[in-house]
Amino acid sequence: MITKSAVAIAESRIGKPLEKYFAGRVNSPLERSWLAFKSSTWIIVLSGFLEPVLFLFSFGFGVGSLIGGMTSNGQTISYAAYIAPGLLATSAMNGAVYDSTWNVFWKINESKLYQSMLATSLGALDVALGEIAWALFRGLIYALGFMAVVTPLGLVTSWWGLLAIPAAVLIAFGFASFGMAITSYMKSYQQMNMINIFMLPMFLFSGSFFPISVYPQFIQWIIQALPLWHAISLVRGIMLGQVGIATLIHILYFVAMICLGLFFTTKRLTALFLR
Amino acid sequence: MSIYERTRKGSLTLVDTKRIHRFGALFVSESRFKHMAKWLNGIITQAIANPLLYLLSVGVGIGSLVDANQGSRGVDGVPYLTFLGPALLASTAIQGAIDEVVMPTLQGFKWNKNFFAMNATPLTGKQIANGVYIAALVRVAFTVAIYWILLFFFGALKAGTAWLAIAVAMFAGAAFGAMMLAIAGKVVKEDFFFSILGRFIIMPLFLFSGTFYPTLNNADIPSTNWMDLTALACH
Amino acid sequence: MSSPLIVARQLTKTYGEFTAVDHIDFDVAKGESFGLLGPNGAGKSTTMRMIGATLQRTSGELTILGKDPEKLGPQIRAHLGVVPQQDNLDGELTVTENLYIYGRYFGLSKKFIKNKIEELLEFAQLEEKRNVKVDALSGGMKRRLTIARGLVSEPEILMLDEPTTGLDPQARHILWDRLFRLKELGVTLLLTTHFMDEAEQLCGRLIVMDKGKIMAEGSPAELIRKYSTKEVVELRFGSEKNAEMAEKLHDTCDHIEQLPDRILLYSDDGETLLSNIMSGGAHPITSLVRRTSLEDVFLKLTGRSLVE
Repeated sequence: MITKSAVAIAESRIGKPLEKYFAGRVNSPLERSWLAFKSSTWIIVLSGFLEPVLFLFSFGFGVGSLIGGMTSNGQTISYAAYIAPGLLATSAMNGAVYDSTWNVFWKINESKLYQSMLATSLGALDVALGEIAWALFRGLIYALGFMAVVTPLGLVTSWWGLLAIPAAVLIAFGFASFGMAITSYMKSYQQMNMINIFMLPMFLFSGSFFPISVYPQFIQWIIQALPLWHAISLVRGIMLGQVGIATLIHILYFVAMICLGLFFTTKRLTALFLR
Repeated sequence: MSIYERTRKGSLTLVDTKRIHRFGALFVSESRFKHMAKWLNGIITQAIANPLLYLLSVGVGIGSLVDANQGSRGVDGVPYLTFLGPALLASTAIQGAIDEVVMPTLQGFKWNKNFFAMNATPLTGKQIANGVYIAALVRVAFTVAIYWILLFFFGALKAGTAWLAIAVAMFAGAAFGAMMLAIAGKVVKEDFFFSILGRFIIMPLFLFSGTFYPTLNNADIPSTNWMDLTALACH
Repeated sequence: MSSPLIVARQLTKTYGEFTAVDHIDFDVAKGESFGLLGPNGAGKSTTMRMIGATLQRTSGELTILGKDPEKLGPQIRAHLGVVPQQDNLDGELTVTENLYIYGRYFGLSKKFIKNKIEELLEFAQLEEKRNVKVDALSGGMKRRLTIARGLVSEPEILMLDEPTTGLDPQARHILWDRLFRLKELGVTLLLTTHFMDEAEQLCGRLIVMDKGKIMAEGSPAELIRKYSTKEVVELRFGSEKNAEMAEKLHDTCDHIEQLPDRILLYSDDGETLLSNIMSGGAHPITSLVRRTSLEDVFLKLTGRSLVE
């Protein structure tokens, strides 16, 4: 067997699109994440899945007993069924944001992982896509876990509900690529804290726990511009079987977010490490 | 005198060991306050924004759903916001105390190791621990006071004894803070510690101790008692 | 001689007003071990990063194996083994996993890397530590692993940025031995250092940089010959008396340098100079005659004031 040398492999990319940024090896950073994941502690992995489940029990069933039923598009459902989609969307967001912000910030500034990756013949886009793909994988696992809990509880009322899983992955993709783009511009831990300051209100006010119709019109507009509202509305529509033109708009919102995020992440990683 | 000559003269003429023996812990607190002062804007913002967000979303938002359903019965006989307020006050005190003892302790032993620098002066380990603890309680008192004022303006405080809630919340924070200080000092692997502490202990306590809905049978969880006490003062 | 591997002409890097590398010219031939010396902030690491195709130049020309790193970054990096100043090993992975995944970054086949790992572990003397997480390794072991990692793609040029800074003497000597073997095998070495003994041990040819410019170029022996005398006499008279004695001894040698704690007298015959001084009635507290080293040349060229 003739082994292809590192040089031959790199030169085979000459003339291909994006040759300066993309070596066509998303699998290598992904493989790295898998190796690191294998030796990490299962309890930390489990903890990410646990949080939305705890919220579901506390708010859905605890507070829900004080609330009774909810009406969504004329359909009467339990409070737990009302908040479950919001919690799935939020956990997809949280997982993706954690992986793409604090983790990425640490890898850029402390562990210098990207510096060592980009000293090889990898391109910036390989690294960005690899990291985001990993965040999606994690989002997928959490979504599956959450669905495994809520389905037996009778909180999914339609076969459309199965689509909530790919929807969660789409949401994770949007937040991961956008989060990574923002993080790559951050310089200090203080700036990173700004992300948290933005995330908490978005979580509390985007309609996971109560309809946004309680707010004045202009506040509703602001919330409707934010990604989490689209995420929650997308998953809620799917889990309750209310699929329509609005579903498509939410999907397009996330597609746009993914494209923007990838563009800026690649641009910025190239500027940081290859300039 | 140059620094070379002064160093030779020895420190015993300068350092008053009796004073350190008596007030050492306060010197440690002073260093903690210096650190906090750097983040003062953040601390103030957090102290105001956090309660504001929770009271608006859970208290008012979810509250509107609860009150619409419960009508004049209310929750434990009071509107949802009044029911929720004291519980959030107590849990904020607890969370604040934990953060403010755990972070400096991990930092002191692991990250910048400044506990070892302090211990290389005449300060004792006990004084360092006490100093961190005192500073944490001062910060918690500040947070709790702001929270209480916001509760007042939200109209969540009905009873004349409501001011007692501050003291009860402080006791709850002090109890948790002391316990976590002891645990944080023994931590070996920090990333592990935060995940387990936050997600497996604090979060479930926060969610299931009657913070958001009345509990019937889980009064054996320690924080429940604190929350009920705080609640008693407010209703 | 075949055409040089690395050619730099008027190579310049500026950051706003600040010029980190200022119009420098140099060539590195195949199989050479080439050193960049200079105090902190001289522009060594900036130069290394431009050669490593991870930093774009502001102006001038740079080719590596005839290619422009700005146009063919990934292709050039495929030729290089990079050992950065600070180890950036993957702390979450074990020793073998680090070597394996780094090979994967180059797109090498799993089978090839598996075989290569055994060679590299032996080279780095880390066979016993193969399944240990790198966070648990000593500084010297980490450094050897970083060098082994840089070799996984069988690069033609190995670039080392201050390879032994922060290591104890034993670890340094083991590293030098490893690097010397690579040099014997014909690997082109490009290294920066501020240890003069290291440069004398490892570099066939070197440039001394200061404030982005090249101050001198040549082999270590050439540089000593050109910029200093053969020997130097170090005398201490005590902090208060040094200045006065320096004044008195001014005419006894080629060049005299007065430092706060001692006086240095440069001469081709140190012993004779010292006995002349003693018989002239001077009584230093301590005296020492030694060969001049690259360090003397370095301090002469780049000055003695502290660079922060």
